[in-house]
Amino acid sequence: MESFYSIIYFKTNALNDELLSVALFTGGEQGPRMYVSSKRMNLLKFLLAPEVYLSVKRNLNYFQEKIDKYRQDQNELLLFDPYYSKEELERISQETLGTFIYSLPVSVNEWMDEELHEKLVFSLLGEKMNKQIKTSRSFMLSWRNTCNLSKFDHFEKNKLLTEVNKEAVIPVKMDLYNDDSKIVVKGIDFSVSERLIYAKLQEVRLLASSLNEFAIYAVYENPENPEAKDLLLHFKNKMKGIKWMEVEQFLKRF
Amino acid sequence: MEELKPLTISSSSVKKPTVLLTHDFRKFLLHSPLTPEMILTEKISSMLFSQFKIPRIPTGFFKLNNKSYYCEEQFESILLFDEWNSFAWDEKRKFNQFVRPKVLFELFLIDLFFPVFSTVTRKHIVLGKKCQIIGKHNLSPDKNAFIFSPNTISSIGLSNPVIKRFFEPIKNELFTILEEFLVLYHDKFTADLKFQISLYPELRNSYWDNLKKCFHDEFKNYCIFTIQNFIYTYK
Repeated sequence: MESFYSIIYFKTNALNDELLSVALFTGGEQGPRMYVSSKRMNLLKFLLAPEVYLSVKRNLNYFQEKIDKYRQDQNELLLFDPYYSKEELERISQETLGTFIYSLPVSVNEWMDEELHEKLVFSLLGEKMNKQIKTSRSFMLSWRNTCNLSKFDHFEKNKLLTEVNKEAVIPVKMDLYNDDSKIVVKGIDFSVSERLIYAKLQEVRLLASSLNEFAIYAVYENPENPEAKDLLLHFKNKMKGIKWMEVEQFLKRF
Repeated sequence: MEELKPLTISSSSVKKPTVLLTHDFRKFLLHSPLTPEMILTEKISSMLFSQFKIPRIPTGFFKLNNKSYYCEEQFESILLFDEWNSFAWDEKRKFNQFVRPKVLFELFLIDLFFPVFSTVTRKHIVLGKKCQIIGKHNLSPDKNAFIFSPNTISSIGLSNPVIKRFFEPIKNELFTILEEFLVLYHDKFTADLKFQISLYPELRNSYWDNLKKCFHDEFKNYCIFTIQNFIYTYK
């Protein structure tokens, strides 16, 4: 199957000739690919009524998801005509009654892969495709995985303070709890807002005051935020009875 | 079909001007010159849509130098209901955005029960906070376009699994929709249609010859059984 591309236009106004090239559709042996131009969608935001713009954006996203899913699911040999083929696009480009207008598919004399798709996006739409932004690692998720390691099997997980100390009113959650060795461990996330860190540290202080015989470990990851660093230092000095440890130290200790 | 008095007509650098802007700021696309056949076909089509309460794309005609042109309204954002655009309804979450999905089924019923127009109804999705389905018959300026030619499930497009997928969430209500459709399809309506056709002396014979075949009990039963068979394929 030869490679081809087609530009998807949005007819903004029937009265003038204006067509906004909102997306690029490429196809080849590997399957269909699509790129929606974010800058032009931003232009559309000012031209259409808000609900209509949202609906248009939503539909374009659905189309992109469908195409990506189709391309990733294609593992077998193509026995039948591919669904997104040049002939289908030729048929679709004849329909001029909607507001989405597809240009006639144009052949490309090279193997269509991700790299060529990006180069075509730059040449035809003038935009560079952004690489996917890596989501930042969450401390609480990795801390939960740490708690579920086999070496902590003899600990009880997520025990509430009210179950241990009958006089306690606030049900503070203890991540790891062992009655025999009198150890309580709580993980603190320093990457959130100051108010939340403060609340967490008050919980730790409450644990310290209500469980006198227990050794309380507060495990954290070294914060980068200077305000969080100050808070950590302040509470370290204030609550000397609690053992403050970083995650690596904690794992070595147990 | 209203007469349109344009405020202005579009200017275009690539093709002849084709879009009107009316005084109440609606845009109409010039379609083709109006012939007497088109006037009657348009009348029958609009009667069908209003009888079965199906939204229709507004139309009008425009006179220029004693020549009339047939015009159709343009919407801000409209999608063709086609298997290419199946991404708009392939999940229940996406289907919930449609405001009256049974309109689509009624459009297919019109294709089946009244197969006298040159093509099947054109179905569109109007995008917005809630997607609305709107339809229209394509009017062709051919002299012999109004011919009785019975359709099958596959010729109206219902056999396509992607289009069948649309009715999946409302499959239990399809029988009720069919019953309501048949209730509205009564003798007074056929009498009204006959009366409208009789107002056009030159065309009434050929038009009535074709349209009356739709009212035969045999044909009606054939349509009912076809669509019932189709609904049973969902169970």
